[in-house]
Amino acid sequence: MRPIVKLGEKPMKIVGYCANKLAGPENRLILGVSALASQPFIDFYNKNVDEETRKYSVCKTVSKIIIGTTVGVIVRALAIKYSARFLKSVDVSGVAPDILKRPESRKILQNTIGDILGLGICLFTNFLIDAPLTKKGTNFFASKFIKEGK
Amino acid sequence: MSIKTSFTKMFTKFCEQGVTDRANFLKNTAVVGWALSSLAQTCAILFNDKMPKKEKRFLIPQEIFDGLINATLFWFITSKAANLGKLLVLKKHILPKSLVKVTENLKVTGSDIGSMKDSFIGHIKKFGTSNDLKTAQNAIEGMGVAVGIVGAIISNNIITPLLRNKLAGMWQKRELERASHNAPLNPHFGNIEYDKYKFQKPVKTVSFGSYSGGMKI
Repeated sequence: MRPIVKLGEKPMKIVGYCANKLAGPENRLILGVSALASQPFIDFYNKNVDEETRKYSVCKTVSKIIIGTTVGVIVRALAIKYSARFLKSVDVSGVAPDILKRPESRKILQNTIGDILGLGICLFTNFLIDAPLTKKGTNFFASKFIKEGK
Repeated sequence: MSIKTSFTKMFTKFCEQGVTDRANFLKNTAVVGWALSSLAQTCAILFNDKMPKKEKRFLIPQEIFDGLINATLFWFITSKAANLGKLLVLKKHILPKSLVKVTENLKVTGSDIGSMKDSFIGHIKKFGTSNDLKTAQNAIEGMGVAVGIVGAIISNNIITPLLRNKLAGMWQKRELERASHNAPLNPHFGNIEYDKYKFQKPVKTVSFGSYSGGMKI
């Protein structure tokens, strides 16, 4: 069977980047930018609620995406940066010793520790940074774009 | 058992799953992440004093449904999209130009992604160069990531907002109806929705001379 799509050099460069370089921070940034391009419009044209609720919904969504993406990208980048150092300082001898003998498993373990570290940090940043900043952002956008009583 | 021992055991178990069963590990961490984010955002709306009650009745369920739908869709769509990307290469629907010749006689065997990948890579190792092997590995993993991202964009940024808005809208309507039934009767406008009644500006009246009645302005 002949392939339907043949990837040339340029598309393969992008595919190679996805395979080797694209990690948590880049993934979060792509999802954040695409969310900003779609979700506010979906909220704005939401016919299930009245106009004022729609406007508040847009303000909250825009604020949440901007703050969430910024904090998410920074936390993930820091977690990956410090996961190598963290890996040296923790005892991982109990983690499937036969699997860890393979050289590529060490890298996967480092990524795993980066993910656990990121999740642990997010536990705090979600409540201490994201939530209060989103609230402030929502109120700021609401004061600019929603006229009281209308 | 001390807290330190319990923590170490839990951490080791997490690490083990992350290395041996990465797909499920990523699913679990993503679902926990969304649940936490949704909870934090719900609290942010709940404790926002500047937001009117009527809007809160929509935004709180919207946030809860956002977390629930995102986690569910991730489980059923996003994680499957990554496998679809890999399958496109393994079944030779999408191939790098440089691998077209070397994979001409390749017949991929196996019932799951892992065994199909082993069969594909085994063939390249046997008949291709080291460069071909690297290209094949990049194509399989890269397409998995790329299609996974497309799946995530469609499920998280299009399907989830449409569904959450629909469900939260229904929730708000039901809550407002319930509140309007319980609201005290407004003497001028009848029994209207509670928030509107509550924030209604007082009606000013003026009197003219000895005329005992009032005229509304």
